[in-house]
Amino acid sequence: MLKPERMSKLFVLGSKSKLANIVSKLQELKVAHIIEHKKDQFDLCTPLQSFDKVSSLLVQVRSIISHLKITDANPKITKFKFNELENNINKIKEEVNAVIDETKNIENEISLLSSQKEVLKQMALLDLLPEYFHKSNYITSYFGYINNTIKEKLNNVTNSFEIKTLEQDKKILTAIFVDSRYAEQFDKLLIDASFSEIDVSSVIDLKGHSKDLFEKLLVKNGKLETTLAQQNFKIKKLVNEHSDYLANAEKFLSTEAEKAQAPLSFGSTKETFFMRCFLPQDDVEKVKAELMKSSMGKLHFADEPLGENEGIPIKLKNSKYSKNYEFFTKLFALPKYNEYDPSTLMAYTFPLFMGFMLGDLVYGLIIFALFYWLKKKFPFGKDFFNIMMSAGVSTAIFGIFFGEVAGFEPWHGIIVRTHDFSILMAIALIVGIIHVNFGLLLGFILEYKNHSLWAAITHKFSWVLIQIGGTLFIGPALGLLSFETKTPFYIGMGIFFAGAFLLYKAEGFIGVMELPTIVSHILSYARLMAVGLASVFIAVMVNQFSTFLFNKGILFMPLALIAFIVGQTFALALGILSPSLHSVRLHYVEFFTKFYAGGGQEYKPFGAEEEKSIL
Amino acid sequence: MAVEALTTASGLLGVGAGLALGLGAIGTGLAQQQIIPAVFGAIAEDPKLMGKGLFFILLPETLVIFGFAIAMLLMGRM
Repeated sequence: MLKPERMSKLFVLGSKSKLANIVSKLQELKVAHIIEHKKDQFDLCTPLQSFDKVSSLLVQVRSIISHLKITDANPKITKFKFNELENNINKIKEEVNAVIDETKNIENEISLLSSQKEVLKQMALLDLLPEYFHKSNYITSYFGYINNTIKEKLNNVTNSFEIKTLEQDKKILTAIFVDSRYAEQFDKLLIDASFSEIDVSSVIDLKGHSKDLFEKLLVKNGKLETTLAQQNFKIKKLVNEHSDYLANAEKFLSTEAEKAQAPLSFGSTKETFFMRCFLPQDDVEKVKAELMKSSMGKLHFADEPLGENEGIPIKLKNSKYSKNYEFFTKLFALPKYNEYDPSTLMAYTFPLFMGFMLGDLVYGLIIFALFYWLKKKFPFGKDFFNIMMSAGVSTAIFGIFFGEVAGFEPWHGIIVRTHDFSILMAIALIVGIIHVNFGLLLGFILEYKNHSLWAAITHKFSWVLIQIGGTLFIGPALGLLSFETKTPFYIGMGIFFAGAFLLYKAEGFIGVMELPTIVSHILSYARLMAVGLASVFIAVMVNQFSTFLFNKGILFMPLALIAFIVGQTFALALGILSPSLHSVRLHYVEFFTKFYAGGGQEYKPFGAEEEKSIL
Repeated sequence: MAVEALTTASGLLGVGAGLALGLGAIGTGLAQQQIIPAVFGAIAEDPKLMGKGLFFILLPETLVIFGFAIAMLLMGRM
């Protein structure tokens, strides 16, 4: 329960003639985490024969899907015959390409029209004809906007030019025709006037007056828009007709492609292939039997020992309830193969901590209902929502215990949080001591199993000695303890320094530097009380304020109601955010650091689909 | 709270408690001000770092909790 699924490493050697069957079987079984073969004296295996065909079809299908912009299809697992699939896809491709090409042509024409219309509109303002702008050796023409009048300056250069202008908010639309000999000087002057040119190249071949031309283009544009709409309708029809087929084909082909490429992770000789994979211990016999059957006995297996540092993939193994909490474990880091999986531990302490902090009957019920609703609405986040639902239940139970209902106190709880500060503080710190030392215990066991008893004592037990010794040694000075004789003081000092020495042995000077962290880690659990008090007092303030308004008279009643609803919503929002974050933090910072490092590799069985999650 | 004769000593204890909590909160804020942008930058590069990032963001909150613990101790002596 606490450790990840136990794995085995299997070596499989077989005849190449059975390769396709073996790969199909493996994909069907969905349990083998294939280890990639690195090229050594044995070459990599080649992909299955079907690979070229499958991948070319897959590319075609995906290109059609992207052309038709199919995004919301819900593919089902379907079997196709290759020849039939190829024919169908070619047919669909031709059909789609014809429509898409035509649509693109129309769209291009429309965009050309719109730029022509823009230019003609401006020419019409100055009463110009497009043909004026034909290229000529003798006359240079300019058409565009300038920022300030320029006529006098041009006059200083020459008189042989023609200019037409029209002021439009702050800018001047200008057309100039000048003897080409002066073009260079005109260029300079126009640059000074921040000339921005209008490109007339799209219209100079048009004949007629710009105003008439503009009208004609408008009509043409209207016609094109209608054809475009018809084209879009055709595309929609194509989408309706083919989207399911294409999506199913895509799914089928991707699985086939995955299968066809799988041998690239295998090694090979001339006549045989071999592969290594990790798989759960419980599945080994079944997998062997199935593979043997599908290769008709032409297979050899060998169980290989698990190496220390070879990245054994991690498959977490937890009960149905604790499985939700794998969310928090994955959020931090997957455990290594020899580490404990903290999901199960968090599954019980997380709701307890959060419930203790928020502790309110109504809030608990609302949280439960809210996350239940969210779970129905967004199924992909169900792990997290389940976690919050369990926290909601715990919050409600603590609410009964504390006698709190949305900040009101209808009955006298066993602990009254607005008064019994010191009891709360004591509980918080005791919880801290238990939780931290439980973490140390887990760390001790792991060190003992993975290294030695001495390592376990120096790395983990030293911290326990430091706690006991420190309490006896420093406690009286802080006024927390008092003894009649000095003996406990000396004993405490001895234990403390023994612990510190062991820690120095294990971790060197850094370890000694970290001595105070044990105090800060335990004191950190004071947040169980602090965050809790903050959440209570916000609710109490809201209630007092709205009661105050309510008693002011009938006119203030609606205001009181608004203040109550807004205030309580705010208190609840903070009540969800803050206690949950702090509860997670107590696990990540104070608890995990005692025994957990993480860094395991994810178990990705060949053939299994990746699960959707909010991570 | 009952109206008792407030002495200068208990007043100063109150001020001390307020300072302990307030300065602790400022310390936490100053630390998080630098951590949070860095963490969000890292998450933008690789969303898998979210958990570890959260760990680092929450680390300095211990300061304000210490402030709170001291404040409670002082309030107890008022």
